[in-house]
Amino acid sequence: MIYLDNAASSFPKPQSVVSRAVTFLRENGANPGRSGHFLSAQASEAVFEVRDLAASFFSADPESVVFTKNATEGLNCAIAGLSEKGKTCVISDIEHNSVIRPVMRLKQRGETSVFVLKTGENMFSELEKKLSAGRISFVAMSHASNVTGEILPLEEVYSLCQKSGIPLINDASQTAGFLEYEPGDILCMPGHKGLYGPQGTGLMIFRNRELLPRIRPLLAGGTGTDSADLFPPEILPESFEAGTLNTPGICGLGEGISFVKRKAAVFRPRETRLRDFLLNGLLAMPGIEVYSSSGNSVPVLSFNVAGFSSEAVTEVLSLRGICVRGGLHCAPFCHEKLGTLSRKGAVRVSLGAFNKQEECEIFLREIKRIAPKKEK
Amino acid sequence: MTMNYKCILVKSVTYAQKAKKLLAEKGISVFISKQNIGPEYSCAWCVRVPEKSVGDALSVMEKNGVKRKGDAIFDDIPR
Repeated sequence: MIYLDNAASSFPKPQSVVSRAVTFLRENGANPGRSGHFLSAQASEAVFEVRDLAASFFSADPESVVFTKNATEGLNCAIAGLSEKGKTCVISDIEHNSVIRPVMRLKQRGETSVFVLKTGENMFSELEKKLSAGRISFVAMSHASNVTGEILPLEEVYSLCQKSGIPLINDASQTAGFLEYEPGDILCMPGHKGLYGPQGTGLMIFRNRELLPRIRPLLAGGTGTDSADLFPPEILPESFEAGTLNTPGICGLGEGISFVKRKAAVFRPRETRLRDFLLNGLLAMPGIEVYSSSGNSVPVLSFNVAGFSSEAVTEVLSLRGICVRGGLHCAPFCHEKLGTLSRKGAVRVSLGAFNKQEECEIFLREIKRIAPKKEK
Repeated sequence: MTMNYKCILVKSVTYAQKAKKLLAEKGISVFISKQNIGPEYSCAWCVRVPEKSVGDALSVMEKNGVKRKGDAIFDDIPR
């Protein structure tokens, strides 16, 4: 089996991640932050250790780190909170539906207007114009495309936002754990992609705590504190974590972050090398249309094979033991931009820490078997 | 000789854990416990600090943004 779908969820997970999650399930299992007994206290400490680790990894205070179940939860919370009636929010034309759908739902309810910023050459001048025109509630942007892998210049975007006093929500789904720095006032990310944690984990990090009064938690419920109060406490992070946490997942996520800290210097350059290898291999093949370019990118690339739908290609590859993703990748704007909406998407290959050169060679060989021998 | 402890209430289990870590780094041995001191402090987290270290502990906690639950410092819960 060759797994090349790490942009959807990284696999396999490091053994340390599996062991830690299993150890918690086997040896603890108490509810953190609820009871006073020693087992619950140990669970609380385990959760705090991961919070503290994530905080130092993303340059934040531990209490600013909120555990979510995925990036989507954090994005929904941040977008709903920062949205203002009568104002416009700015998103980019490479966004995932985890950003598009929350803003479009608010638009449908008449609670916001939406401006879709075209990425590329004129992006900064367009954004500057939009921000200086006023009545912008926030900017929400992916740090990298989950289709092409292109990294957006989010540091520059953030700098423009800061000049105008507009908050930036960074959807770091494809970059968290890959890039050294994540700019933005609120960072939202999954735990199960580039951070190598279990599925069902995610982080929402409040870099700018002044925004906190504007953001309402999606859920209200038990937090283990102030139980006589009928209203939820307004305190980070507990007010955003009502209900029992995914403690085994969080424990695993901690090991995932540690794995990235220890090993990223080795496997990230390899991922980039392998992406370039795949890209060059695909570009050299007749009948292949590639939608990614070399350069500033996460280890993701997309292409189509002439005469085949993307899903047909992924199905053939799956029968040969290769896991990649076809279709629209929940990113309709991006496919519209690439001209692949009418072709029902593209084949996406995404690399992870455990991929090897031989796997990429097999992948290219299999694509060559599918592809037409001559350009039509 | 037995050591007397004081109980500093903080706003959440996260702040209690943060205080524990920070104070341990300063050589102040603490432990945390869940307390229900009264209706106004229902289900609160207590950072238990040696009486002689209360001043230092408060200073470290304040400097690092550990949010306390009220200003009161309680005598340790008899056990």
